[in-house]
Amino acid sequence: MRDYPVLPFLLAAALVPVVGRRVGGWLVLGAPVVALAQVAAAGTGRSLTVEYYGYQLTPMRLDELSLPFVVVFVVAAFLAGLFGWTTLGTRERVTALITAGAAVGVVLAGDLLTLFVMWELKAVATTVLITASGAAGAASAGRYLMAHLVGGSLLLGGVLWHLAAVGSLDFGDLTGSPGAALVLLAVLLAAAAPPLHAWLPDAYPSASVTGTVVLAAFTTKAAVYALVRGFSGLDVLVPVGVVMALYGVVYAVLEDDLRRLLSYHIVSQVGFMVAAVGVAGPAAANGATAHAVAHILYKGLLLMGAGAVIMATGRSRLSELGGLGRRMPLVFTCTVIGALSISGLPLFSGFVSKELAVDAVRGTDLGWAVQALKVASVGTFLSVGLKLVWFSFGGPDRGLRPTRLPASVLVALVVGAALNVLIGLRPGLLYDLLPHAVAFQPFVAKQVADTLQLLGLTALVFVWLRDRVRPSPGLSLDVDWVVRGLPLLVRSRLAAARPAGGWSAPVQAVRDRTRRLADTAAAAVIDRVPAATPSTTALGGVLLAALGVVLVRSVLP
Amino acid sequence: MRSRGVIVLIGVLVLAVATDVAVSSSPPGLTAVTALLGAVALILFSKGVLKALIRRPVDYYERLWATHGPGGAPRA
Repeated sequence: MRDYPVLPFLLAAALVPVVGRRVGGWLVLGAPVVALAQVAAAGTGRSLTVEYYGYQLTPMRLDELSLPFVVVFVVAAFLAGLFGWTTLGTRERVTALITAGAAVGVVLAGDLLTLFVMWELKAVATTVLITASGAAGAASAGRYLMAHLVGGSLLLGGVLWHLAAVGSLDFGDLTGSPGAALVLLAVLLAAAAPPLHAWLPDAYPSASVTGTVVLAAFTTKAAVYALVRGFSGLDVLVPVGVVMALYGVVYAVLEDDLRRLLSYHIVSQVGFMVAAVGVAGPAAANGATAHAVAHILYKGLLLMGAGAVIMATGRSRLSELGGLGRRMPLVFTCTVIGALSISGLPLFSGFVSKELAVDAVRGTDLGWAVQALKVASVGTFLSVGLKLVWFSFGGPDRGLRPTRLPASVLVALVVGAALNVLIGLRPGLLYDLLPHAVAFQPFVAKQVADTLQLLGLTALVFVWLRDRVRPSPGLSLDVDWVVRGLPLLVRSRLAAARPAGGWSAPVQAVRDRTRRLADTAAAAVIDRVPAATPSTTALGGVLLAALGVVLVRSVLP
Repeated sequence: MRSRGVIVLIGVLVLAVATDVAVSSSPPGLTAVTALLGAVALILFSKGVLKALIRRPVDYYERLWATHGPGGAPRA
């Protein structure tokens, strides 16, 4: 148990409140380093099993699929800790550590019970992390928690159903399991698949700037891991992924808030991964995993860049920003690297991962999906590579005077940018981590020409229609309006339609009428059946109890 | 400066389309058409139809709560 990579995170989280601020910062940085050393020492094939009430649980199963996720989670935890070295409070440090540890626990879980426990631990820790930013964060955290409690309940229901039907808690391919639908719904909710996605653009921008970096790294990517592990080759995931990819960019083009725009892009980018998971075979698993790894790195970089802008200017809306490129050259350069990575420009990380994911779909007869994903790529470059970069760092100087940023913020940005360039230049570093051998070559004329056409023409359209893309202040209603807005409107309409004497008179009239009808029906039935004797009542009770036993027995193994 | 950038961009594009036509087994120009139509359609749809349908003031939910929530003034 000593080499379980979750423990350093949980131990550090327990120590942070009782040590000083400086030591706490070192603990936040040290935990991922220790976890990475444990993973390197253990190597793939290492597992831990424990006996729990007759069930064989596997809290740790480090294999070829879990390895890339563990490594990138650990790297993301380190970068987030570095970025928030001076800004993270104790509560955020503790919850960030627990979140990272739980996410590592999810991808190491070899059984469904451990998966559920880590899943819920992550949900609770991230909720508290969101609340750390104040009142606005608390409201979003409440909605976030509700969404994830629903997801957790679905997951638990699916796990119990699977256990009852199969008699095993092993976490492997779940596609044939009777409980699979519930587990899939829970995982798609955590992956932010529309219409189960609204918690993401609501909650992520409400956290602190470092909190958003932590949130973006773990929740949706742990869900992608669960999809690759349990639902690889499930056809329905291709259209679900394509819808996600397009939905996210459509909203991102409209968005004004820096972090909300990037949050919608998480939905879109996770869509690429989900679509790849829907295609069977090792290439698809490789594509989804590679894109998850690269996405954590470039999205972390972009959110750190956005966070640096917010920290330095106090503004988060593109309509209030502009001309920061000359005043924040390092942040500008790193953000551009993140933007080019997410846009999939050759020589950056997104190109080598996105092409691998799209290639998995390209290898099938799903031509429509490939074209739709190309449109999503266009939207990505349009909204992040061009709109976000131009309207925050380019454009007219709005006279903003950014404050000096802590050195740790700049170091984290540079390290993040370096990783994205490194993977872009040496894709083998990423491909060697993947669960299956990679035969794919990213730098061939066809793919490079394809990408340059997509990005070049998008850039031309941006130059042509830039005034139309110009961000304007506002809020885009999403499906969460159904729970946040609609009940208030219905309540208001009901109040307006209230009769002069209140609702009691018409309600009483309906109640009396119903009672009379029920009495008439009961009298008609009683006239036709003999009176129940004590023995028939007892027999009925016994039969009901037997039915209950049968039901319980069918659920339990 | 901007026009020079656009000229370089067009040069890269011509090169990319030419490469695509030379090496692609799929219908040449399909990617270019997808990119062009995709970008224009995304901008016009998002900033046109969708904006008119779903864009609200930043404090939309606060206002809604104030006017329609418990303790708020219900509208007739």
